[in-house]
Amino acid sequence: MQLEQFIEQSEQRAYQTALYATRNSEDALDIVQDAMMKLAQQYSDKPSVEWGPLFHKILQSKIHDWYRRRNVRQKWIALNPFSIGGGATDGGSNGNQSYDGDSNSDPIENAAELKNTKPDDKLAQSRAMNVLNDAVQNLPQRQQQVFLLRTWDGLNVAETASAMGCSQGSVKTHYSRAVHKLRELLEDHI
Amino acid sequence: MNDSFENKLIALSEKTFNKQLQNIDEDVLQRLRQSRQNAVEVAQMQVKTKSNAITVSFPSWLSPVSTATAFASIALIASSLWIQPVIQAELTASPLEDISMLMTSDEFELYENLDFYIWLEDEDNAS
Repeated sequence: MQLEQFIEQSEQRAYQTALYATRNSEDALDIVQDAMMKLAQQYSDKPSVEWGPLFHKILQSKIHDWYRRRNVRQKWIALNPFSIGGGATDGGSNGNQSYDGDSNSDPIENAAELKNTKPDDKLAQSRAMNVLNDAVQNLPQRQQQVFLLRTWDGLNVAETASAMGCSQGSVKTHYSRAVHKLRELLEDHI
Repeated sequence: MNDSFENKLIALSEKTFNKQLQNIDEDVLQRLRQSRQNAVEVAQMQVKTKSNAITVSFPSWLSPVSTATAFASIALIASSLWIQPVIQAELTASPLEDISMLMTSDEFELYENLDFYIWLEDEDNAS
């Protein structure tokens, strides 16, 4: 497989993963761009089977860096409420595409692929999808990323631990907490 | 944890996340394409740079082993050429030093009185 082909297959998922984490389109694009560049610069000569795990790892590292920088910035803003840019917080404040906009979209339109279900079911499922979307968006960072890697990217516990640079026990804990929280929010919808 | 709930949650999650991919703006998709192109160009440049570096370091007719052997041979020849004149200079210098030593008057007096010193020693032994 060519590097271009691999990136093409991965870029939208990577963007969506970063968007869940940052809730800001510009920041998500920056993260994905940096991750692509790092993969190309440092690992393009590696066998193509290694690109997937490496790209997950780089992306998670970039997301983690973004969280760290945001936390430092928020602490600085809290200490200096009159500092320049003090009123600007993340979440699409610069007129960028905000993640929140997706959750306000028409649930019927969002459920376009559910053609075989009854209209009531479609509506219920669409509502459940919106609730889940918001819930995942509001999960703590580590729980959110573990949940995405496990359920969406289909990584097992060991692969997730490797991508996130943490222990397998930590992955199990984060995943269990995420599922527990989502269960509380979605019990009436699933 | 209820397995059936978890299975339903996983199925719904997958559907939800995939659905979100369809909502990505065309502008974002364009920028992702551009980023991808940039990354691919960087990767191609890296491959070219690496292959050029290898060519400059080791031309096809010059392997690391042959380079090392050549340097060792040159060093050996250079050192032998440098040491040889020194040895020859030492060899050619020694007769001159002898002559100069022989030409010293003190040394001749010693040789002239040598018979006297031998006689003196014999006399001491006899007494």
